[in-house]
Amino acid sequence: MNKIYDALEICLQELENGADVKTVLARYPESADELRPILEASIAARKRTSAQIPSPEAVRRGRAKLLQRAAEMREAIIAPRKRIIPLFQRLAISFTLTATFLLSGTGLVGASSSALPGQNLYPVKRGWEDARLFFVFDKTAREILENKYESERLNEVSELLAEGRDEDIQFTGVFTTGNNIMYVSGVTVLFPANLQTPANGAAVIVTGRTNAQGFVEVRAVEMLPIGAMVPAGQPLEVETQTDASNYYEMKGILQSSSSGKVVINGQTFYLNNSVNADGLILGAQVEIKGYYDADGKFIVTEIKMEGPDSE
Amino acid sequence: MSIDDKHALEGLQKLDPQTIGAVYDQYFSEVYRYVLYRVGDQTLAEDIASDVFVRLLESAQSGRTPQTNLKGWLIGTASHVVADHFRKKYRHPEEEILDSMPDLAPGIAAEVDQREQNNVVNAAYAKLTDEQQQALALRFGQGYSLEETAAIMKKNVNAVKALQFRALAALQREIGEVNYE
Repeated sequence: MNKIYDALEICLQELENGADVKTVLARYPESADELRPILEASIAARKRTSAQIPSPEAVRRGRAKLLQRAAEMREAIIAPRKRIIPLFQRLAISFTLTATFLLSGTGLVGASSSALPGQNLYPVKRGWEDARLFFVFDKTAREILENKYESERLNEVSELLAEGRDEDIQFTGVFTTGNNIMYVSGVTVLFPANLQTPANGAAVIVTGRTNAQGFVEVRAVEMLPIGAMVPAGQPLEVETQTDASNYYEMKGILQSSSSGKVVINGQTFYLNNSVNADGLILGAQVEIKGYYDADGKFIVTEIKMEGPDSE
Repeated sequence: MSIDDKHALEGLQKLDPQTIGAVYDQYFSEVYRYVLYRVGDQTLAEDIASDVFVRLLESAQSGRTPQTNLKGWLIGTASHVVADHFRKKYRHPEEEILDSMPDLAPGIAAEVDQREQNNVVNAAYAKLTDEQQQALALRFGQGYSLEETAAIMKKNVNAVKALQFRALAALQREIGEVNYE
């Protein structure tokens, strides 16, 4: 059978080269009858190839279709990147806003940074503190931040006392006593009779209320474990008792000065009518002299800034 | 512009417009001619040929690069697309509208005769198996050698010789039957 296939192939090649059917069949007389219809069919098959060239319009259309598809595919490749970029951008924006709020002194949080208990922005301040703590996962860093906020609570209490405001507060510190006065990290506190006073040097959480007299009325106290990190504040340096009638000299940092009162190291002192606090610089180390009156208030009879020039 | 297959495939994978255009320009007419031979309809052949190049692009993108040469892949794919077309057509045959076609003017009688003859051959060709149609399209439509045809059809040369013999015999038989009908 292979012989007839080979004979057909030779005949087809000769036909393609211009020979006619009769001529090519003459080479294979024994197979002529079998090959003739096959060769005629091949001629018919070859004639089907009219209109072989596509129209220029069809070529252009097909080309445009292909390039359009390529463009779509390129776009499809880029699209996922585009989807990622906005997601990244959103995250970046969120982080930037968060960082801006947390780290900068501008905006709502910045404005709230100096807020005190009872003020409208105080919840914002505490909220952002909680938010910052939430995102700190390192244990040490978290403890440092917590201690910083506890110090802030202590400063808030000092400021409230300096302003003579009545506000509910809670802060932590070290309980100390001296000259029959109780302090928690430098803030004068008054324990009610029904509360047992902590041991000297104990770390405590104090819940109470500030008052215009310059101390905190303690409502509750919670003892913290020994070694707990609490802000120490700036205890007053009680240097000398000048005489037996409650005269003292003290040194500390002047934190505020207003209408007859000064706050030094978180403690409020009341200026004697003869004392003028004008010209004192906030933040400066000052030395005061005075006495405790019958209400327990420290009356300042002399105040001066300490420093190289004052020595 | 002629480009080698390796360079072309690299360009196709990168969706390089210049390479895509060059591949299209180089092979479109050949693919179109093959498809036209198979389907006998110019518009359909243009559509299918275009589709073959889109498939080439998608194939290159998905990493399924042609295993054979580019021309072989294009013709082979064209053959599959044509086969798909016929499968769909047989499942959902369109209505014949030949009876409603207007009568042709007497002046073009010769052209009509030629067209009728073509219709006979086309009808006979359409009755061949897909493989037989493919062999005739490659050998007589494209003018490919036995070796080229064998490579595209993934057969050996002797198998193609036998196939083309049977295909031509079947075509002749079908032409006779179509004429008889």
